[in-house]
Amino acid sequence: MMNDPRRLEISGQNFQQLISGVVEKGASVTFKVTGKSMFPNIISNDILTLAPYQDRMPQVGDVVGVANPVTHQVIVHRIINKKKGLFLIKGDNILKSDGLFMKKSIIGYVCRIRRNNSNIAITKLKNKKNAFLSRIRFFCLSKPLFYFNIIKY
Amino acid sequence: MDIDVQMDSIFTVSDNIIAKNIEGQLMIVPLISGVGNLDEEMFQLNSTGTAVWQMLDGKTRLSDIVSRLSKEYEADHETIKQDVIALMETLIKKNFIFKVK
Repeated sequence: MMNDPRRLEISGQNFQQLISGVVEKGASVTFKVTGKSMFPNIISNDILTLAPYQDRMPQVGDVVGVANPVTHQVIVHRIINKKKGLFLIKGDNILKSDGLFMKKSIIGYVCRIRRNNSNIAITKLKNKKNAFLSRIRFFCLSKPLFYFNIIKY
Repeated sequence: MDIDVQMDSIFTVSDNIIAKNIEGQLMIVPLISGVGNLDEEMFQLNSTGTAVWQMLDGKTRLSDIVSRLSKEYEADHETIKQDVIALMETLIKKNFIFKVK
């Protein structure tokens, strides 16, 4: 009736439900990530710990977990801007943003990154610097590409 | 730890876990020092195990759970009893449930 400890392959909406379930209880959640969208700050097989915000407000620079409203998969990307209670979220290594999210859509923030059994330091200053660089890439590079697409079609 | 499972025992679910029913199967994540580890510590109950879990409400005796399952699954009463006892022992050992009576 019970499967003993083993790696269970779950993804998408189910994974998001589990992560949200843990964080909603005020606990942190640890999981392994894949992908290159946050390279070099987060890479495949890093083990992240996501903590709930509770009373604290999300800050520009925080790496956060949000549910993709279309695919319901959990995205772990950075807040690069904040305006009128909405948070602009984007991967450090991609040009396109994920869009604007309300606080209630943010599951939690990354408080710990483990890579090869070592902790990767997370500091406010480093987060702010990465958000700044990501914002520059977004505003300077993504818009010309966007205009180019309009001309092209 | 009390893992004496009797048919008149009553069990309830621990607060230190997250249990989510996903596509008819229960996923259990234990919270260890306030952290749920989805990378290494995650357990799954099949549909029968999930049916048992849903009856662990702190009121229902194990004998009633076995009777309900025997009717529902049309299986041998003794086989179900042994399976349910084995499941209870596993869940107690992992601190997912505890005995209230």
